Amino acid sequence: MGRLTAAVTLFLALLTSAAHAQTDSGQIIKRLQQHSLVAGRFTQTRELHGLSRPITSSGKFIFWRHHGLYWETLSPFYQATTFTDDELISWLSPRGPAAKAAPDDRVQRHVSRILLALFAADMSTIDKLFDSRWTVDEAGWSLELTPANAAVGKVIDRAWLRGEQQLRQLRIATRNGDVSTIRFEDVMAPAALEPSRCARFNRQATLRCPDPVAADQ
Amino acid sequence: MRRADNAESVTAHFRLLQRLALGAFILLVLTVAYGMWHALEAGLEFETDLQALLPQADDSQLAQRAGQRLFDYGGDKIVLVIASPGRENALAAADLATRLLRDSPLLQTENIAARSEQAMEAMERLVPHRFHLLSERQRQALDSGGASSLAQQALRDLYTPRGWGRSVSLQQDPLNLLQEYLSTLQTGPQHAELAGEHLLLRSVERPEWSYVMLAARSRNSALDLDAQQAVVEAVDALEQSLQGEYRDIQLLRSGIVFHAAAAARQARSEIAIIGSGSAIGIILLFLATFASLRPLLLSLASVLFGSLCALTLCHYLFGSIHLLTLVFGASLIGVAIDYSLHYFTRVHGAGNRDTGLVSLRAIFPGILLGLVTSVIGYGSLAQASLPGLRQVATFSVAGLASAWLFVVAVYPLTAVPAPRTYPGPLLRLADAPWRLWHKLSGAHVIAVLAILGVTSLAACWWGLRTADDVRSLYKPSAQLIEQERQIQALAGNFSANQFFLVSAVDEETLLQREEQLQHLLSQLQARGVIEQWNGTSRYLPSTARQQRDYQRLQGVYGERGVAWPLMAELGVDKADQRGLRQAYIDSEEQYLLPRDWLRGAPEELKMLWLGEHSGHYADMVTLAGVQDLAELEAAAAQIEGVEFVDRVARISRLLAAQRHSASTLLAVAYASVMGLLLLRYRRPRAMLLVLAPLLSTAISLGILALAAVPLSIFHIFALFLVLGLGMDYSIFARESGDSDCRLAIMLSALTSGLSFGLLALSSTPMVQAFGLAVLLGSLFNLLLVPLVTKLDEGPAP
Repeated sequence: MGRLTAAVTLFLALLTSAAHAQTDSGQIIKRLQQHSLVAGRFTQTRELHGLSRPITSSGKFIFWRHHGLYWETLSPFYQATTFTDDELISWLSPRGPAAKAAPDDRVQRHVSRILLALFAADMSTIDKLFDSRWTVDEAGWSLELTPANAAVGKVIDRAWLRGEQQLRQLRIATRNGDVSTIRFEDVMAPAALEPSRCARFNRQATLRCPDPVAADQ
Repeated sequence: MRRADNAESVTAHFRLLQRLALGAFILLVLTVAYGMWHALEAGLEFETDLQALLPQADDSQLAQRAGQRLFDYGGDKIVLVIASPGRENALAAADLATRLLRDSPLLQTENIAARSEQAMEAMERLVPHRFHLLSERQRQALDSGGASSLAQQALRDLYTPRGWGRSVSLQQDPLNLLQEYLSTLQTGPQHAELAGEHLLLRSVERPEWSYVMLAARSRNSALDLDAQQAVVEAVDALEQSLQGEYRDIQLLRSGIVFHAAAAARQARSEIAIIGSGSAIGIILLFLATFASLRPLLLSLASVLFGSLCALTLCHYLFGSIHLLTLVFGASLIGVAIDYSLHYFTRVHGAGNRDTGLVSLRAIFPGILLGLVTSVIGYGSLAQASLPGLRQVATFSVAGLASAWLFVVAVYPLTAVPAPRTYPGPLLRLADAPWRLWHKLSGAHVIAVLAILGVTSLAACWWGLRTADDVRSLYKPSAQLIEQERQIQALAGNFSANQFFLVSAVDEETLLQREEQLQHLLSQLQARGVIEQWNGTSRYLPSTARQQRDYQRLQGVYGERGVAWPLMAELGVDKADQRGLRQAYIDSEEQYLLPRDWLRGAPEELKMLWLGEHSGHYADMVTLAGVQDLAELEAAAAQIEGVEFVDRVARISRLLAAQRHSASTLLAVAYASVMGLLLLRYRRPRAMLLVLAPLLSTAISLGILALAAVPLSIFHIFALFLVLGLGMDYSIFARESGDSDCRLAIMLSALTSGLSFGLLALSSTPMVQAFGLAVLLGSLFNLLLVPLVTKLDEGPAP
């Protein structure tokens, strides 16, 4: 009898903790999805298979929900790229025009989409590509992703995301043995986008850039 | 003509002839029973694919093999696209569809994710050959001394997330050159995304919609009629369950099976309409005329027997029978019933006191000559090289002859009814064509005929156009066409109707020729003449090109190559650098060869390589989104060993050639019939009897010209039937122009008009053309027969 009670208690405990984890991850996702505009600084460290020392770069990023991710490397040299659902735009100088379009590459596009889904906390897309495992504790949350299908597994081995209020770190191990870690700092949710930054999402000048008034809702 | 005292006049000779016919009939019954039993045991094969009726499109064996290869690959394939305004909605519906399809006993789903994985694996096999493979952009960069800029780009990419997608390690390919090469090999939809196991597409037309593509194959033969129908029904049911479960779901379909099933359904319902329409008409006519069911039942028995014999023979000769043969076969009722009508109008006639045998004797010369002319008319069709019309010719000749034999062998054995007076209106109707021309004298007759002839010829000369485009002969439903267009726009499928064939005496020359073609195709692609192209040389460059690319890579992997400083800067092990250098040197002669490529190539690419055949190697270059055929023809003409195959145009050209040869055969048929008339009547004037079908042919053509109906080969074939029918009427009018005979002619014209009139209502253009021409022709036959018989010194009407 005592054993049964213990089993039931344990079962209930498991159940509630699972439900707890469920609501926690739900809240985290909600929080991550809260802002349509997120900007900050990043430091990327890539440990490439067969290289004795890692390659480090740093710069700024702007994520604009539904429109893309602008990735501006400032050190060790300038190179900016806008990732959107459909294309990859390169910029060779802070104010200059876009570089010649790179040839259409499906593998790259696949990677871009995953990247965008991670930034957007777009779980419906993520869950189609990965099996996800949430861990939530006092310090924050982490999410471990393992490819759910072979096509993703061909490129990515595993990915980890960590954060508190915001995404703090993204780590991706790719199939070729490379591991890339990106740390985010000074992450904010600005209400407006400078016209010169907005233009980087807006090659055809068809978008309405978020201004302080419109974003103030 | 009729003799009151009959018994003696029936010669022993004819009695013997009739007994012989009976013997032949019994023998035929046994043979057909045996043949039918045999065919049924193995299962009757019905064919519905309209293509099977058309000639084998290509004179070149190679093109035929290529066409067969494309059919084998795509014939049983169906593509379904789930369309919905919501991405999640579309994907959820696709999950359900995949589950339902997986459980289906009829369809085998293709896992698109697995297929793209297979394609990726094929690309991975190219890694050891990376020192011989370059993209066009890399080639240009290396030729213009841009090796260091390529190295710079590679270095920059390492610092950004752009470099994440690389599939080959830094030590093996420091400049990440292979990745760009591989990306140039990708074909297929431009805006595709792999979402889970589904391929998600987006359309330029409706960017807010999501499309999920599913591919499946029929588990049964692509030509199996019932399986086709079942597949279409399964897909319809699938659409209903999807729409029941989710909002705003559309299911687009594409695949040969949908066309074949639609054509079969149409043919089936048309058989039913034509069959029941002419049956009802004939039943009413018989009841009004004979007030008895027996003539009707016997006539039907004769026609049924003829059809059964025809079916057995055709199935034996062709291995299967096409449903359209049966459609045309159904129209045989109108012709084979002539013999019965002539017998029964005589036997039932008011003044008749003859036995069945004597009555048969009286009409025998007429129906024999009628049969012979019809056999000559239909038989000429057998010389056509259109397989479908050969089948129709065989079917109709066999059916007519068997039905004729049934009449001659069986009818005299049946009881003779009491004489009957036919209803007045019927007799007046039968007399009408004769009364119409009654007052005309010989000179007037000639004048009327001449005016009709000249007017018709003038109309033909003024407005007769022709249409041989095969697409005008088969009209799929607008809905199916629209769905296929959407799928084509989304997925950019390669056409099975237009492609290039490249051939040469060895593999290397073949690939070099294809590379020349590639060059032209890239230009055409840039100008929007084609959307995409695919050929083996895309994946497998010629050895000569591989050699040149290897040399170009000296700038990267040679002693002073840009790879070494780059690797040093990144801190790659010296040993790894040496290893790469050695790998480059060692691989100089390790060309990617056809056998290596074919070993691992995905099915849809392997299919392109036709391989060796009697000392020649060949490859197909398939195309998507073709806009201008002339440009492609011109491209093919520039390179030796390259042929542009346009199967649609080829079939159309062949149809035109068939129309020409059929027109000639029609003239031959008229000449033979005139010869036959001369033999039978031994008077040159008797040959004028052909004027009835000849003039009605001219008038029908004139009307078609005035109505702006373009002439196709099927009109011409119908004119053979006009010849057969017209000769029947003329011969009977000539043999015995009495009122019984006129009644039989009128009844015959009515029955055949009924069945052909219904054919003219068909929605299958070739059947419609045939029906319309026969309808017009037999109408004018009926009107002209009395006029023409006046020219000959036949019995006074």
